[in-house]
Amino acid sequence: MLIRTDKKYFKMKNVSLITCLLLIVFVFTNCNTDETQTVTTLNNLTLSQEFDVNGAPDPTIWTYDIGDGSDIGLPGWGNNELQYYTDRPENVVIENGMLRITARQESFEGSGYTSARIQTKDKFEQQYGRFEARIQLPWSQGLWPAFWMLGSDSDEVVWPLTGEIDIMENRGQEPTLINGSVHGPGYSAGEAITKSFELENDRFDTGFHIFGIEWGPNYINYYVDDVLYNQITPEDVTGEWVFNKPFYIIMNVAVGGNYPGPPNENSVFPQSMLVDYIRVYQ
Amino acid sequence: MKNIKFINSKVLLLLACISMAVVGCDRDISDDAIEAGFPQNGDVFIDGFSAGLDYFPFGDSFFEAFSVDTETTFGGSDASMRFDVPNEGNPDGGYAGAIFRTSSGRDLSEFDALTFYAKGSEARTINDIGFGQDFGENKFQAEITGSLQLTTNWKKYIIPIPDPSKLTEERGLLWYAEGPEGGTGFSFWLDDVKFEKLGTIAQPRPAILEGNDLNETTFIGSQRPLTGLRQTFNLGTGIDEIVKAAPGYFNFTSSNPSVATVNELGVVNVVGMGTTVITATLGGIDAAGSLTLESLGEFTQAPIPDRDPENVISLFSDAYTNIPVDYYNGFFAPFQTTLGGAPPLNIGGEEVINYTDLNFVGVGTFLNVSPIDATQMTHLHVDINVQEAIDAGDFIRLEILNGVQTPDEISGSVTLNSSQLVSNGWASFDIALGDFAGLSVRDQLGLLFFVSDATVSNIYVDNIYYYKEVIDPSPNVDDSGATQVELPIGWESTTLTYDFLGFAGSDPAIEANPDPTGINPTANVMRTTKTVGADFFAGTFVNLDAPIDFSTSQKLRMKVWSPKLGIPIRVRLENADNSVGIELDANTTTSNEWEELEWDFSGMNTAPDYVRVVVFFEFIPGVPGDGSTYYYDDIQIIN
Repeated sequence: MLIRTDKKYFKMKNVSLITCLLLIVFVFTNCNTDETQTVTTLNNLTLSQEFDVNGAPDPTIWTYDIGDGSDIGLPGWGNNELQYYTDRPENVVIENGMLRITARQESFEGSGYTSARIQTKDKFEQQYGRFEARIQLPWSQGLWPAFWMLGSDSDEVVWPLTGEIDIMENRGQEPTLINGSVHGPGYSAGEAITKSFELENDRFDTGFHIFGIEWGPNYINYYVDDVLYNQITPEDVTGEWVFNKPFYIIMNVAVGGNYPGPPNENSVFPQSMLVDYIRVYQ
Repeated sequence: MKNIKFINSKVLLLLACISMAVVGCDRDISDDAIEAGFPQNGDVFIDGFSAGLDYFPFGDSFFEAFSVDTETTFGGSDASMRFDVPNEGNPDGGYAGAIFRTSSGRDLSEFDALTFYAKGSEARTINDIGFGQDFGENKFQAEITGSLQLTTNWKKYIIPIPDPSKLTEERGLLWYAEGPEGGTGFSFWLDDVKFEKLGTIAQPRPAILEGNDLNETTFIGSQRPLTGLRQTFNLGTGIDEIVKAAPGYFNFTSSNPSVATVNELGVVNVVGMGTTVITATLGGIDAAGSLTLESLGEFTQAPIPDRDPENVISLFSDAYTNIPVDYYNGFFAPFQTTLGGAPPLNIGGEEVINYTDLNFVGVGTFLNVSPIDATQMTHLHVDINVQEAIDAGDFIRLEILNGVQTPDEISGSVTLNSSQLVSNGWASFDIALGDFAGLSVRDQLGLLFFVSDATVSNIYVDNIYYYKEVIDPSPNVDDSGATQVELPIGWESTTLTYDFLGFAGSDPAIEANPDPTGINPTANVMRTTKTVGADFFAGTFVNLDAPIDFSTSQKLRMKVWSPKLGIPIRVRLENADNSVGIELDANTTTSNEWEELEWDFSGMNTAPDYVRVVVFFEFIPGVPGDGSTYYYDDIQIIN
């Protein structure tokens, strides 16, 4: 998520390819007696974060990104984001069985907003599998919640070569939409491979929804709840496929930045992203 | 048609009673039985009127504004609702507005919004559009005010329901009001009008008092309606929509009911001394905004006016029928700090205005109401109660404007100084309109200002009215036996020589009374004709053989006869060499008949020997003589 874009990008030939792939999936699943779409196939749990113990996230799994990005030479985290990330309970805490990441409007260390970003680098990394989380999103112009992953070699290999899988990201001003994307060499930022998913007669900030991917050699399937809405394969990306290696998980709520634009006078703070669980399967 | 419908509904009611009676015989009805509710039909106008819906225009609106249009429709539907907003000044009604009501209630509680497609013949903003008006209690009225912007293309609009659970028996399915803008009307269309469950109406943020936390002082008996009631939702588009919501959607709470209670109409009633905080919830969510009231106990009302209503034009008084005003507080940006008066307070059923943070404030009668023709009035009355200690430099200046925002705008003012004001008590003021120097014409009074320049910041004001002082006519003057020319003068002596002279185009003469009726049947009077082209200051003087005796009274009376109503007559008194003079205006309040006017020189310099009385009719700078003939008589000092 170092540099993003708000362009929705999809090539026609890819659509037809995916349609073919989806048809294949349907053909297989049609063997079942019921005709419900098979969204996931991997069921061996390798990480279960249920957030049942009040307090800070499990330090054996999670570390905090702190600050406004200046420490790593990227003020605004490379996206003109406005928040200062902290590890304070006001910004990140587990309570009532939920991980709560809260963006606040407050003057803090030179920034106008605070929030939190936690990640599993060097603590939990996995190549392939099923990654899903049950989340209720914040809302309002300028909020940018995300559940995403970076390649575990992100310290050695520069972005976008390291690869980025955005399982879910959302603009607070689009309460019915989320986007799933991949970034890699030749298809990052404005050229990222992305697809949006829209809820019908519902929205993402009024209840919990499951956001996930099932990722294997040369494919990533994106789903929301029981709807598989996209598959990305090496055929779809306009560069090297960099997703055959371990990745780690990142959860955050950004404020402002290139993707949602800044908050406005109608934005409401504080805003929380509630995460019921994160589960990873192999 | 409407009568027939009414009869039908009575029949229905009867049938309903009968059917209930039948059901009532059945004792085996299960406890789990769900009460039969009202129909859950959300349709309002799809391809035509939905079942039971009828059109009721507002009484003063343009009745023909609404029609069913079969040509301009959305998405190929059979018909749309068409509204023709009239031009300004349309004799058949100056605006378009109506409710659409069903003959029996609908259960709309499963929906979350009223939606429709709409377009205009031009891009305009609709004043009010919503639902919940039924010409009954309007208990769950809700509307979007001043923000629904039509385009010339069909577009979908969403009016969220502030709390759908309240709408279990709603008859008011749609209402609107829209007036001409810039003088001209236009047309707009609605189609596919229905209540629906969108599922994307979220993040309710109710508010009272526009979300403000207000602190106010008050008294026992005060009634204070809570205004600024609204509900805000975030729509599926991410846009916030603000809906004005009737009090019926809210639950109001007073933290100290022994100080004040709130009824279901959102009206606060102050019942005791002390402090309370008024808050509200809507659908279980705390509303933003609160009202902290400090009740100071019993309130002393202003003295009750006793002038004959026939002689009063009242701006603000419970004793009279008030004329319409634009406002009691114009909130003039950016310099005005004054709060209060919008609306006035209601204390024990009596209205009173409390201006706080006063620097200046205006009572307006020039925007949407007729300006006041105070031509026949002689005085302004106002009662003022200053709610703070009064310092030596404190003042309240009353300023009256005539012809506001016209090329002829003029004004005059009178200052009430600190010795005239009363702290924590009522002071009553009766100010002659002639004292408002510069206010030579008062046929279009548009603003009355209270100006304190923040020397006084908290006042109660009551009984603001103009009135005509009716003077009991003083006795006619018979000076036929006088030995010298002195007051009183009646022009009746045949032996004295009245030393008078007209100047600057005035032509005077002592003549037989042309109209010996009414209050002046005496034989002789002074005529003075203001000849065509005479200077505005043309007048007539008479020299006295003895100075005016002001020892017992300073009020000079004179009977006058004028063909013109409402013109100022100036009286100037001079000493022998005109090194000292005092002068005052009084306005005629009638025409072509005798009336008596008073010039009250109280408080002016009456010590010198004034031996000349100068009378100027229609003393208006810049207005030359037009040949009008005036008469005056019976000049006297009277107590």
